[in-house]
Amino acid sequence: MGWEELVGQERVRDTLRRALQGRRLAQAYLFYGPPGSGMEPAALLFARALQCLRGEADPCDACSACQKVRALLHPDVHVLFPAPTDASEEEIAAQRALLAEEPYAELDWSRRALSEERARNKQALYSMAMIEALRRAIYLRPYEGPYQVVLLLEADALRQEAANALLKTLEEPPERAVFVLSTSRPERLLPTLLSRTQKVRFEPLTEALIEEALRARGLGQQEASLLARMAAGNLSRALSLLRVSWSAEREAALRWLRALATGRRLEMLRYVEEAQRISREQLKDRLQTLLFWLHDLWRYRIWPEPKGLYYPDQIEVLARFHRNLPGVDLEAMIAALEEALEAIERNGNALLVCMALSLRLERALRREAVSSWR
Amino acid sequence: MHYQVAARKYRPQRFEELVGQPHVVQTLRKAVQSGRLAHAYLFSGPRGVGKTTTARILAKAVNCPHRTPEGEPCNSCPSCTDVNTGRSLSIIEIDAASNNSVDDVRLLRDQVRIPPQSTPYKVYIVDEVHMLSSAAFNALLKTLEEPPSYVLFIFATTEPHKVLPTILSRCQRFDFRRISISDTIARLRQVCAQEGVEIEEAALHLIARKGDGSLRDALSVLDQAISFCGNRVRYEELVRALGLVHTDYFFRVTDCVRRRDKVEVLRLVEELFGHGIDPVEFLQGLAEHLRHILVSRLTGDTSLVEASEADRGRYAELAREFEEADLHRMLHIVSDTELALKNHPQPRLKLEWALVRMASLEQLQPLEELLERLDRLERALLSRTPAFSTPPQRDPIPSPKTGAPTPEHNSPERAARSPFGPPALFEKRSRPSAGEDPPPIEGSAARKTAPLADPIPFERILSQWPEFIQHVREKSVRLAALLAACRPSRISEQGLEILTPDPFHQKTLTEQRFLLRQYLEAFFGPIPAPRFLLSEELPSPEEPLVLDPREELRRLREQYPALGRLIDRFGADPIY
Repeated sequence: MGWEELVGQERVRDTLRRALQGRRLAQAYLFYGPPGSGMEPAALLFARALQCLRGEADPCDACSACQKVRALLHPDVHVLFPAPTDASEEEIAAQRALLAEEPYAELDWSRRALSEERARNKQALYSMAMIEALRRAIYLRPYEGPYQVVLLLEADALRQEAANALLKTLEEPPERAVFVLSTSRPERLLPTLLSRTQKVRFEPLTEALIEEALRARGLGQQEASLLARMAAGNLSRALSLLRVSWSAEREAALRWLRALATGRRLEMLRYVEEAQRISREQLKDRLQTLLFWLHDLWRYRIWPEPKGLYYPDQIEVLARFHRNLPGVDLEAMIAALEEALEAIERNGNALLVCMALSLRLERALRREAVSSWR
Repeated sequence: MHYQVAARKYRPQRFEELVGQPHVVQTLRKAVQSGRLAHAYLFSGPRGVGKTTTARILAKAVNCPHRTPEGEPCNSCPSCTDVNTGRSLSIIEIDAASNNSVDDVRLLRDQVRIPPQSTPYKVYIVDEVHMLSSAAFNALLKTLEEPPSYVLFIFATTEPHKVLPTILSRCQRFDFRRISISDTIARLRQVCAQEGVEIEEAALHLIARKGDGSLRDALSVLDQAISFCGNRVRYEELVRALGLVHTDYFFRVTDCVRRRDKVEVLRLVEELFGHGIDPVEFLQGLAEHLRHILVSRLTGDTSLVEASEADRGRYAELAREFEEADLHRMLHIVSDTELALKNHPQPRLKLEWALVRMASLEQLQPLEELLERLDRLERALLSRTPAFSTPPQRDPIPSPKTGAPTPEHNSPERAARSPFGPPALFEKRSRPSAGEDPPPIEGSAARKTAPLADPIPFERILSQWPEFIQHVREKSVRLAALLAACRPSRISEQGLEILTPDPFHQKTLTEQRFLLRQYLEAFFGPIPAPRFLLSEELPSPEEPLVLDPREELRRLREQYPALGRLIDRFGADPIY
C-alpha cells in the first residue's frame, strides 16, 4: 500500500509524487482543505516516501524506514500536534497510537475523560517549548534517513509567539529539512507564515469516495451511504460517527420533534433533562441530528426529491410531517437550532440551552413568532 | 545543487534586481555611494516584498571592497560570498521572534563592542523585530542611539506599530510597498524563462493576482503551479489546482436568483459539491461576482470590472436587472454566510440556505425613495390644520398596478423589469383598509403651504396649560403625567416649543407628538405643532429621590407647613 491509502485527492497525489520524483522539494508545505479530507494521512505518506530506503515517488511499505514512519517511530520524522497544557504523557501517547493505527482518525481532546480537578477542557495549542525543542532537533544531522521531516498537524493552533518563532526556520531551514504543515483553517495562520510555504489544496471528499472508504473499512452499503452523507465531506467525522449509535440517535431526535409538535411536555422535559447528563460532544451530535431532520424537512418542502437529503430513506416521514404541519416556519427553527449549537460550543449551560431551544421550537411548531436570542 | 523553491532561488543579490521598491533602492544606493549611512534602519512593509533581501544586499554593499560605482555589491569577493552562503562573521542575522528576551539583547549588546575582523562594518540584521519584548526593546535603546562607529543595525518587520516609538525615532525608516501586478508579472515571466517553463498569459495574471502584492506569495503559487502542471502551465489546469470556481457557476446563481428558481439553486449546490468545491472559496467568488454587478450598475459601464470582454457584456446586462439595494442585501447574505461557515458543522446546509434565501428575496424599495416618501408623509402630517374632527378625506394611494401618475419608481414598466416583481411594500399599501389608515398625502400636501388661519396667542396656552393637562388626563394618565413635568416656552417658527426636564421626557413625548397634536387642537383649536426641547432650569421629577433624608424632610416641611407645626409641637425624628 502506497499512495492508494489516500482517499481521493488525485491532484494532490500527482503534485506530491511529481515533487518526490525529481526530489524537487520545497522546504515547507502547507496542506490545507476542509477537515477530514486527508491532510494528515497525506502528510504521513509524504514523510514515508521521503524516508523510504528505495527513494522513489511511492513508499515501498516494506523497508524498515517505511514501517518505522508508519508506526510513528522514525527518529527523523517529527510528528507534532497541539495538545492541552494539562495533557499527560499517556494521553499524548494514546493520540499518537491512534494516529499510527488510523491516519484518518480525528485528533480529539474534547472527548477525553474529565476529572474533578480538570473540570474544563483546556484548548489544545502548540507550546513555545515544543517549537524550541523542534528548532534544536532540526539543526542536527538526520540519524537514519536522508531527510529531517517535520509534520505540524493542525498548524492553526500555532499562536502568535510560536508561529513567529518558526518564521526564520521555515524560510531557510537546514538543507535536509522538509516541513509539512496541515490545517483546515489557513485563514487563522499568520500571513507571514503562509507566504513561506508552498500550498497544497485538498478538496472536500465527495460522498461516493467516503462511502467507498467506509465500505473498505467493513461497513455495509446502506450504512456507509448514510454516514457518507452525514459526514459532509469529512471522512474523519464519518469514522467518529461510527462510534456512536447514530440510528438510535436519529429516532430519538425525531421523537423529540414529535413530542414538541404534539405538545407532550413531559416527554419533551425528559429529553431536555437528559442533555445535562451526556457529554458536550454527545449533545452536539444530538443537536446536529435534529438539524439534519430540520434541513431535510426544509429541503423537502422546496424540492421533494430524495437527492440531497441527509436521510433519503426517511422520505415518508418527511411527507407525513408536511401533511400534518403545513406552513411551519422551518427557517426560524433552523436558526434557533444553529444558535443553540453555537451556545453549546461556547460552553453554555446544556440544560438551559436545550430548554430554551425546546420552547422556541414548540412555538414555531405552533406557528407562533419565534424571536432570536440576540 | 540542492533544489530550492523559486522565492529562495531567485532572491535578488543586487539592488537593481529588487522589484517594485524604487524609492528604497535609490535612497540606499545613494547612501552607500556617498558613505552617508545611518547607524540604524527599520524596514517595514507587508510580507514578501523584499525587506530581508534588501537588508542583506545593503549589508553586503557596505562591506564589499569591490563595490561598483553604482553602489552594488560585487557578489564575488569573500565578504559577499560569505554572506550568500550564510557564513559571514561580520553580518549577523538574528531572529527576534525566537530570541526575544532581555537576555538575548544583553548578549547582543556585549557582542556589539567587539569590532569586526576583516570588514569595515559589523551589520546586525534583526528580523521580525516586532516580537522583541518591551524589556528587550528598552535594553536596546542606548546601544541603538549611539552604537560604535562600525556597527550598522537593520531591523525588519511586518508590524511596525508593535515597535516602541523610542526605537522608531532612533531609526531611519523605510516603508516597503506592495508590489504591483505588472511588476509581479514581469518578475514571474523572468523566472519562468530561466526555469524553462512555458506559461499562458492568463495564468500569469492569475498567479500575480493570487500573490496579492507579495512577490514571495506569487512565486510560491508559481511553484505550486509548476509542481502540478509540469513545464507547461495552462490557465484551466491552474484554476483547478488553486481550487477556484469557474465564473459560469456565478452567472448561474444570479440567473436562478433572477428567476427565483429555488429548485434550480438546490440542483446547483448538489453539482458544486459533487465537484468537491470549497464553499468558502465559492462564496468569495460569488461576492466578487456581485461586486462586479454592483460596480457596473453604479458606474453605468464596465470599465472598472476585472473580467474578460465576454463576461463584461454579461455584467452590463445583469446590472440592468438588479436593484442596488438588492445587490447590497445579497452581498450581506454572502458575507454573513461566509462568516458563519467557519464555525458551522454543515457548510453545505448553510450554503444551500444562503442561496435559497437569495432566490426568495422580496424586492426592496431603494432607500432614498423610501426616505423621500417618509419625508413627504411627515411634512404632510405636521402641516395639517386643525380639523381632526372632520374625517380626513380618503383618497387612496395610487397603486402601482393602476399606473397612477406617481413618480417614476412605481411605474408598471419598472415593476415588470425588476426580477422580484412589484415591490412588496406597495402591494401592502395599496390594500384599502378602514380605520387607522395613515392620513393621505395628496391634498394635505397642498394645504401645507397655507398659512395658519388664526394663530392662538401664547399667553392663552400658558394660562390654560393646567386645564389642558387635566383634559389630557382624561384620555391618557401617562401622557398627562409626562406633560405635568413640562411647560410651554414660546411659539417659534418651528412650532410650539415645550420644555422638558430630561431626555426621557423629551423622547417619549416626541414619540407621541402626533397624538398630542390632536389633543392640543381639540383643546385650543388651531395651534402650531409641538416641539419638545430640553430645558436645564426645570427641576427633574426624579430629583427628590436622590435627596438626603434630612433634606427631604426640610423640603416636606416647607411644602406642608402643617407637618412642620406637628413636628415642632410633638417632636419627631425621621426614621430611615
